[in-house]
Amino acid sequence: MATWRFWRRAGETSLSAAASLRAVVPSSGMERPRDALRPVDTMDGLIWVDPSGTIRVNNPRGIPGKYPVMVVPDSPYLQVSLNGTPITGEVVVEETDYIHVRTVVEPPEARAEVEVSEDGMEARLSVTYRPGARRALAPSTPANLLVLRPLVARIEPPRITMAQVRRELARTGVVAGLVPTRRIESWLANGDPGDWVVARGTAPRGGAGTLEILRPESLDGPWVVEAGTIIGRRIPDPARPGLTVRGEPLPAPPIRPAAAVQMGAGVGLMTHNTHLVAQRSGYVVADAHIIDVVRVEEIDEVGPAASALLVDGDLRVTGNVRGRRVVVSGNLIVGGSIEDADVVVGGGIEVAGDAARSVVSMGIGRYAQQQARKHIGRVVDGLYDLELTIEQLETEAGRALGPHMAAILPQIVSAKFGDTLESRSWLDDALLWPGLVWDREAIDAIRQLSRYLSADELARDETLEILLGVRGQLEIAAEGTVVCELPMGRNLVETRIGAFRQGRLDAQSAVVQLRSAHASYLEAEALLVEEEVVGGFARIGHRFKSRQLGSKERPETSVQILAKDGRIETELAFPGVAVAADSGRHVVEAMQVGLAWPPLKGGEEG
Amino acid sequence: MHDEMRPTGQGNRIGTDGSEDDSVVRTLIVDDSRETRQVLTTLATSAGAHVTGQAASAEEALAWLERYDCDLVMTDYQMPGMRGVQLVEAIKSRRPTIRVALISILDDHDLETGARRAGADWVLSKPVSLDLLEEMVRSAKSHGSRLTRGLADTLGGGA
Repeated sequence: MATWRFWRRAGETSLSAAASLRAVVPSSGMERPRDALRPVDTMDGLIWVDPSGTIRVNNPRGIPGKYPVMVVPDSPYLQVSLNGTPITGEVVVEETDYIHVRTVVEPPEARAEVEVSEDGMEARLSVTYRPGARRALAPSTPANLLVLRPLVARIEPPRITMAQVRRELARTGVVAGLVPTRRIESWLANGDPGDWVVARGTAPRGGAGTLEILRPESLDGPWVVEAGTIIGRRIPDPARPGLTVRGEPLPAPPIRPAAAVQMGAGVGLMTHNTHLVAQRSGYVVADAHIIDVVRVEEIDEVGPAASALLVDGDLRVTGNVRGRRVVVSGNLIVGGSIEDADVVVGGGIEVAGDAARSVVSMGIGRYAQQQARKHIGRVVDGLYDLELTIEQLETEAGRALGPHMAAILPQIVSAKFGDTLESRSWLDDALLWPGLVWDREAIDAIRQLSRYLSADELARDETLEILLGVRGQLEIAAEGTVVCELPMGRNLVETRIGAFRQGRLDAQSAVVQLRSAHASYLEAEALLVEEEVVGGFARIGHRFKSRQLGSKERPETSVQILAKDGRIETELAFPGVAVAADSGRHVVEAMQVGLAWPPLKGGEEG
Repeated sequence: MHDEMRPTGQGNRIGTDGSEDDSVVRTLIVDDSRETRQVLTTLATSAGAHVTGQAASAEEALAWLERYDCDLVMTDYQMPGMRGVQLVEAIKSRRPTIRVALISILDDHDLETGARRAGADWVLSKPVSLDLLEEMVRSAKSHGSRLTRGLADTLGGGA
């Protein structure tokens, strides 16, 4: 018997080992030996895998030789049967056994999946690969024990193709917003798994536009225009509907007005909203927040009159303002003085001369709201009192007044309800003030009040009932915003007045400069006085500064700073002066030089 | 007597039937500082009151009240002669229906306690705010029926 040597090249584990083994078998034309070589001193049976992958068995030579043992792993990829019965684990075999081995191929897998987002605006392609495997028994050397360990050969999965991706896209209904095909192909070409956005929807876009202001470039100073002048051009950016990746249309949202830039009453859009046109003559105000044309009215003097002078825009008075209420939505500039006047401005106020026995109020919207609520309160109180007055009258008369009510009511209102009538008049007049917009329900209630508090209507039988109903409407209206300021462009002037005497300044949110103040009530965010504040009260938001506070005659002069970080400064403070802040109150008892409060500094006695 | 002590130009407002108009709050201002009287007059008028008199001292105020009537007195605390708290006591003992506000340049807890004990309806520190004065005036106004006997008789006779 020939001696055959079997060996395996180092490191070889693949199926090619069987082929290489065959190559070293001498090609003598002889058949492969049925019996394997065994060491001469062993009686044991042998088992081995021959080059063809068949399991061979030799029985033991005799006693005490052992029969060969085969160990079959429990694997889904290796099916071994012995004489027709599937086996796993350790089994003793003999030559006559029929051993059948079947290996199961593990197929490779390549998957492409497209998922569409819930809103239909994105489609993602997900590619996954899983290699397969093929198994075979490797030839082995004969031995008494054979553990079946199949060799595993990897099977590479096929690459996902563009055609497969297209099929998947079609399956999920993705038809719009696809990324270019070559990009998808480049992802697939690597053969690597991955996750990519393959389609994006188009979001709808609302219409908008930019505004180009046509101010002449060479112009220096204010831009004055006449009514009808085109002052700006709107470059529209039309609305655009959107589309999902499935081709479903998304409607464009309604057109939004241009962000943040408001239009004042002095401008309007014309020619299909593309031209911004001056609606009145005046100067143009155009900034980041508002575009407007502000009228400027110029007059020589404002003299005494019962009715208020109302100006929508700026007012320039060359001379004086005397004995009248003046309401200006913009700036007020007075070349002379103000006396016995009641001035309300929306912008700044500049008075070259003095202000005497006058009330100056700044912030037309704020002022109107405060006053409206006050007067509505008075009217409501008055109407409650009126109801009680009528009840008492009927009680004392011992009967319902019935038809006599019409004769009595006007007399009562005229005699006893002067405050109510005054407030009604104020509200009536204020409805006509420029630069304001009133709550619709407040307007209706005030107009009804005005109508039914007139002498003619008071004479009617049903008027009292109606007035009590109006009272309820007014109470409701007063709970909210009754009136506010219309958006208006302003080139604010600095607020400066000469001497302010025996008057009231209400400038809660403004910075005010005065030459001096005497016996007045002053409210401002900041008050800067060039000379002195003598007598009176000052309630200031953040900063009060005056060269002198009080005088040697020691009139009481009180200054209060409202903000915690506010400040009072004066070079000279006389006895009779009291300064107050969040941190406390200080009354000056001896003349002080260089007073700053808080904290109290300086205070050298003079 | 100072001119200021007389009722001011408008006097007590008179209704068309000759009786007084109860809708106004007739106010007396008492302060030794002329400037403060002027400011308080401006403020009280802005608040809706009708300033019918001014006095430079507590004694002058009491003399005024002997002759005229009012609904509200706004008085300083520190004055020469009788102090504001004593004036409050005197007014409340003689004319308890008159509402009294004590206004001081000081902000003193003991002062406030003393004033309240004397019967002051309000104790305020200078500078007084207009908002506060408006509330005071609204509160000082008597609410309810504005019927006076004269008017009731007149109207009842005609009814």
